[in-house]
Amino acid sequence: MDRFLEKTIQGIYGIFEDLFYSDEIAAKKGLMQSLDPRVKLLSILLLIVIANFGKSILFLSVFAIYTVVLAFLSKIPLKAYIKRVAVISIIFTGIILLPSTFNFFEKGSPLIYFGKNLYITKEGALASLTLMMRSFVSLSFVYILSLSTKWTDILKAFRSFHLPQVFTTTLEMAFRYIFLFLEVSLNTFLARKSRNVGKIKGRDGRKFVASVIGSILIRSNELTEEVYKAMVSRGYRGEYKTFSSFKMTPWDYIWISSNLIFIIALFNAKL
Amino acid sequence: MHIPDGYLSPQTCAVMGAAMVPVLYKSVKEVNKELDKKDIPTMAIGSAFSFTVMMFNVPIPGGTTAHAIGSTLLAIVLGPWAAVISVTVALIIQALLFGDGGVLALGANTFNMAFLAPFVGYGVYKLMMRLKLKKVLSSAIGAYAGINAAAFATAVELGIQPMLFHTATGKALYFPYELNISIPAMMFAHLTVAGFVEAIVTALVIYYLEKVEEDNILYQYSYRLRGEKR
Repeated sequence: MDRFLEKTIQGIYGIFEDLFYSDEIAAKKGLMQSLDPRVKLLSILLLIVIANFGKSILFLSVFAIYTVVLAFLSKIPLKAYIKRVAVISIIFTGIILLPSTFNFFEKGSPLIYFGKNLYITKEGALASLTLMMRSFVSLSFVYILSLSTKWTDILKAFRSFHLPQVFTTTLEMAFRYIFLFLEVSLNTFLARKSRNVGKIKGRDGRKFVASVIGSILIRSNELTEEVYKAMVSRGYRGEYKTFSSFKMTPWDYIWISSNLIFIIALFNAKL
Repeated sequence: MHIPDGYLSPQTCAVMGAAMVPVLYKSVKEVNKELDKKDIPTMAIGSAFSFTVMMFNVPIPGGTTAHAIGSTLLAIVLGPWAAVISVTVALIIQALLFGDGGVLALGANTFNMAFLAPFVGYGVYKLMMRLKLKKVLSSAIGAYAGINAAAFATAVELGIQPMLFHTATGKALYFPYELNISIPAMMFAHLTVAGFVEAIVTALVIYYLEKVEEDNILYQYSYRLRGEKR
């Protein structure tokens, strides 16, 4: 019953690992790394939208190849990348979609027989494959973006969309405190684990998790006051000016125009 | 409950995203009014808290674990409008940096978990309080209602896909299961397990906040969370 301690500890370590990993890859010299974060964020979002309108396997296959090439040119380790993206888009989605491929869900021409009246239909398999591909492509783009860009830069890039500042500043500040809270929680869970003798009952486990949440809640409330006072003492009066040092380079224009050509060609090919 | 990309049609995502715009606009305004200049740090730290809570594994009977969302909890302690912003920001960070939940599906995901869940949860909680129920019990019922409302909305959003978006021959283009499958499947899991996890965690936290004793160093900071004015 004490698996929840390890799972939470591993989960939090996983986040720290992801951060470290993405910082490492974002520091490499690759295709995506050379782009302005604003251009990158916007173009990735647009590419996801276009990919999601895709209805045919061929159209989505082109996109899938495109994401893999993009990952390769951005020096993202391909094996880890495909494994990570496939867990959700292929395995998780596949399990959900499996029943829909059988003839009891919808009639169609048989593809694989399991019995006289039980078979996977060609139409069902094709539709499921389309959904899996679409999910794979969308997740790939997000993954490439988050690995090739420093996370703080992704959040900073939001400002260029002219969203309300309350929102963008909250996003940037929240990101910092996430790591503080994760560290506090990690230490609390580790402390509990190191004092553990025998098995924790489910009841006690739930009580423990709730008390951690409660204590973090109280601490966060306390922290809010302190952060606010610290901001006021540095001249905060309810307005916030932010500086961004992003600059467009020729690479960005090359990236934008080559993507435009890619999209236009794709639509002209009528896949 | 995080819907990944590819399950919903872009049209559905656009509608859900558009629905969230006035909600977010209103919540930013409300939070500004209520908390005056403290809005930014409060919401930022609320978001970080929301993100952290979603990381915790809660032991459930049967030896496995589940996650809580904490939307109703946030609505009770910070107010429902601040909860909207906190959970929304947490979901954006999850979607963009960790790939949990789709980027296009953010509109739908925030609508379910950051808008419906805290508001339904808070509404039911307030109703129960008015019926003179204890605070801890009211929060549990509220949390149960909140997460199930979100699950129901998720099931509906997914279930309408095959009706609205299909090929000329009637083959589904996006999520293939209709409402008659998506609603029972989602609701069974949430009415039986996830709802109770959310309810128990929320109630225990509220209980804990009420029980923080006066000699505890945290006591002076928790008056607002206990609903006292000072």
